[in-house]
Amino acid sequence: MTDRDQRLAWFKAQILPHEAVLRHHLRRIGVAADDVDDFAAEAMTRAYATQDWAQISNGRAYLSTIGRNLVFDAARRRKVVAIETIPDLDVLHIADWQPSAESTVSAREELKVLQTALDQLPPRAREIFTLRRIEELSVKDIGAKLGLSVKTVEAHMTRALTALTEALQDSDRAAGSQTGTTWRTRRDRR
Amino acid sequence: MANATRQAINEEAAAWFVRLQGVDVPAEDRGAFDRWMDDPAHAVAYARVEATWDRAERLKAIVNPNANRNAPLLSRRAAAIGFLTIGAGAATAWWLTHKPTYQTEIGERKTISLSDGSRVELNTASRLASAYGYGRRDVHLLAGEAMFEVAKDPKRPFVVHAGAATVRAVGTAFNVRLRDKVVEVTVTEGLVAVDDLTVRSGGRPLAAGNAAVVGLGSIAAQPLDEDALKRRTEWREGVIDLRGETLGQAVEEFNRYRTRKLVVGDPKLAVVRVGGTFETGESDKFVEALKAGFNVKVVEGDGGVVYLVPNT
Repeated sequence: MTDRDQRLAWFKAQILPHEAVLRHHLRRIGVAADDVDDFAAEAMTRAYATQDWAQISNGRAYLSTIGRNLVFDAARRRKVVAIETIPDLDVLHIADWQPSAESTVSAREELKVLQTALDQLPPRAREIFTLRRIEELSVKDIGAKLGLSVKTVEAHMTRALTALTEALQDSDRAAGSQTGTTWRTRRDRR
Repeated sequence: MANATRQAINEEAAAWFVRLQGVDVPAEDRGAFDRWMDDPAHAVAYARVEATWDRAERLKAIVNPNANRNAPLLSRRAAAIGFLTIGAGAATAWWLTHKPTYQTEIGERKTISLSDGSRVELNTASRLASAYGYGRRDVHLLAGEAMFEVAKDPKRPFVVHAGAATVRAVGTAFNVRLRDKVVEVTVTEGLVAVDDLTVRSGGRPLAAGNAAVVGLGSIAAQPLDEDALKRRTEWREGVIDLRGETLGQAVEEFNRYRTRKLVVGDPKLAVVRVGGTFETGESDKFVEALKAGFNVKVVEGDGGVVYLVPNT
């Protein structure tokens, strides 16, 4: 395993699962939907680029700190915005970053998202992805079986994998956009 | 990021993923992939695609109930970081009483114009003495940290003495920080020659974009990327930028600007990694963030010390 492989494994295990939570919090403090995408993308990128990633075992807390500070920075840069935003940022300060049942897509829902995305693929792409991922045939064997070149099989695989990735990402975004009462702040609890 | 851009990157990532699963991947493809992955935004998309691939395994459960569901295990490597620790002689200079000295209080920052037009910016709790002579311009950094912008004068080299280190320049800009046991030199413009008092190698050249740690009779130089370089001099804007430093390191940074020092009261807590951008003067905000995000509790100790302990 190279350093990069290890970093990817860490990122997948420690950071990626918390993106929906981050989005939720950003929305909760009144960040506009478009900006949520930007902040979240920037936070994910920064988290990935962390120098001493191997030492970070609380990915959720780490990601939330990055997100929080991006908002602070933006508020500070746009001084006009700051006056109105800062009181809301207090909420972010004391927000309860524990994930709730609603904030993360459950395993069952995730399977449903994947299945729906698979069903919506063009028939060839669906067939090829099923052969590759579920029946674990090699690209070469799939090509031989269907009378297609390796390149064509790879193109269908790429299409399928992109569609599934997008579907999962969108379901995360939907989860992150929920406004619920499960996200208590310490202030609320008083 | 616009959705179209996002999708395009996801598609590239998927294409790479599929390509690299093949049996014989030519070396030039691997090289191209490495370059593509150098962009963290690309790497994030690649991680997403990998995650999709992993998660899609669960589709097997629908087709085949005996599917193998082993999740990939995260192998973690403890990064061993070697520190250069040395005992640098304390700088005691008799001329201190005779020469112009400049100093800053805790939390203060000051810019000084020297007689030759060179500018020095002093960071918090720093002390500097200048001793200009005929053939050379000597400056002694006695405490803290300073950024030097040296006026060009080829006949009179500008020499900074800091701990065991000397940094010699003609016309250039660089930052010098006295740490506990080493001196950290960062060059942002031009070229300097760095030397260690105990070695006197005649000076090791250090160009813009490079940094050196001087001490224990050795000089360890390394290039810094633009980002790291910027971070080294960010104190001039009054900013502390944390990107995965340990809490211990972060507290050390903030303490430079605090009279009531922070103390991490738990070894486990000290190695927690933190990120974020703060103003040097707003360490209280940092503490608040710790309380919220890391479940940390604050205990006021004797003599104005502030302890950070896990909230159990």
